[in-house]
Amino acid sequence: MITFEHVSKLYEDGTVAAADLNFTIEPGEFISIVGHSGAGKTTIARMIIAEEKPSEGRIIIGGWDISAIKRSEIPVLRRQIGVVFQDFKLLKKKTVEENIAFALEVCGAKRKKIRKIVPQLLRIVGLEEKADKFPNQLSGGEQQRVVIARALVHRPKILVADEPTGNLDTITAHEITDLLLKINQLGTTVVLVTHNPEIVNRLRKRVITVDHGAVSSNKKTGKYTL
Amino acid sequence: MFVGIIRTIRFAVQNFSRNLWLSVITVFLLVLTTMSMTLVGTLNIIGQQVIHTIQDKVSIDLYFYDSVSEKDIIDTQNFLQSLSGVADLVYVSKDQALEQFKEKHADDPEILSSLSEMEENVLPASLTVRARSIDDYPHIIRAFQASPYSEFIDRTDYSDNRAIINRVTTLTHKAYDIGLGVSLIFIIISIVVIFNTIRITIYSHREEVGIMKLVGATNWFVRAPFVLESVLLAVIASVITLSLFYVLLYGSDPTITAFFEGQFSILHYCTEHIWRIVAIEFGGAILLSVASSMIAITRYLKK
Ligand SMILES: Nc1ncnc2c1ncn2[C@@H]1O[C@H](COP(=O)(O)OP(=O)(O)OP(=O)(O)O)[C@@H](O)[C@H]1O
Ligand SMILES: [Mg+2]
Repeated sequence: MITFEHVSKLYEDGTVAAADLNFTIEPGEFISIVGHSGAGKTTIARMIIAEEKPSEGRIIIGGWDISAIKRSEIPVLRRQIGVVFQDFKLLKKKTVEENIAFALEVCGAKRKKIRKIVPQLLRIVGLEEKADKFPNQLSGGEQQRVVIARALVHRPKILVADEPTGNLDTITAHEITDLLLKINQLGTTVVLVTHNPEIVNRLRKRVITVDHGAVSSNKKTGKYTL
Repeated sequence: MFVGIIRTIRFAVQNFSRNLWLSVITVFLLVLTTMSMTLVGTLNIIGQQVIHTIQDKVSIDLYFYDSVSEKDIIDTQNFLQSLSGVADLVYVSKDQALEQFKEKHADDPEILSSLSEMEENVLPASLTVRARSIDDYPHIIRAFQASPYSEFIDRTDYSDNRAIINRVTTLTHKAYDIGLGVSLIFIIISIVVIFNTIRITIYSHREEVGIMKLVGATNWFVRAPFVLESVLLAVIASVITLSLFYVLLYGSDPTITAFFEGQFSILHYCTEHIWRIVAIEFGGAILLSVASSMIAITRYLKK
């Protein structure tokens, strides 16, 4: 469960990116966070993974108050939350398989474990055939699948995806959202940040709309209404 | 953990060869730094040895009048023995002095024949006084001159090497200071260069670092490859420095040994203390290198 309690975020330059956010995300839920550009969606995602600290209020994830998290505890949190970010790309010099393996290697995983997990993840995202390809040999959608697979290496309870369909055409975007739905069905809480109304409306899941850093609507099977 | 180490080493070696020129320059500077420090250390050892050797040669020779009795000589000896600071006394009787003189001039028949022409032994009995430290001589001399025993003495030879010792001391101190200054400059340059080398390495791996952080790699795991790369640089530099240093030792040892009249060999000294030298060399280089790379990484990760 993710709980935001009176969360505000004031960036150093004085920008108010979050103003008194209050909402709860249940375990196993698929939630979309929508809003205009600059509304503060990415800021929410970054606060969930403790990349930014809230200026005020508390963020509680699985009973853990991460608003005052210590630097040394951040890796523990990150291993429980998978992330798909726009600027969080694949390594061009590594193959699909190596890119996924890298995320495990740098956390000190044993080779045996890596050999077991990587093919499983490739199957989940449907890229078994492309294991030895390099990122520039893949389509945009396929690359995004690899990024999603990499986000799942620690079998996280939560997956935060910020604009995972950003640069993709409609059909590919749908395929990616379907993949996220599948991951959600496998038991992972999915937090999808997007400004694409079509995707949100098709999902028929709960939608939190943010406007100027505040929640303007919070609907069960929401529609993207701006 | 073990797998992690192998991966990290591979990473370090790869980086080294990928930024070959940068690595070469960094190693070069580290070599300069450790070399200058090593030379300062060696200079210090040689300087101390020089002072030691000269100090050993300092003594007071007291020559007795021929009229002084055996008992008076023994009394004088006892008195000197009782003075603080006196390390040892060597008594040379008239007969011994003659023996020594003959031995010394064994190859000189002219001197020997002129000696045999003399009816009696003209060589005086003497007492050589050696102090524990060079600074003890003045008060030994003063105490002796104030005593009644000074009456027995015909002639005093005080081979006062004080001036030379002072000169050597000043010289070594000056050389040491200059060497230390030069080393300090090299240390600062090294820190800056290593810092930048590691920063460039981090920069060229910023995507990896970003991914590492987001997937939950611990800070130490993120740091380790870069720290290890700096260790690699330090190890390579130390090996080069030590090899150069030994080449230098082999080259200069004959001269230095000759200077000390065979009493001291710097090569021998360094070989005797080889493990300490290796430890200091590697330890120093690694410390320097790791410290500057840690600063670079910590600064990068804080951003
Ligand atoms: N590091 C930062 N420092 C200062 N201001 C920032 C920073 N990051 C974001 N902002 C500002 O905070 C506000 C919210 O930004 P955020 O990135 O959360 O918006 P967003 O909803 O994700 O927008 P988009 O849909 O364009 O991605 C914006 O006004 C933005 O300019
Ligand atoms: Mg955004």
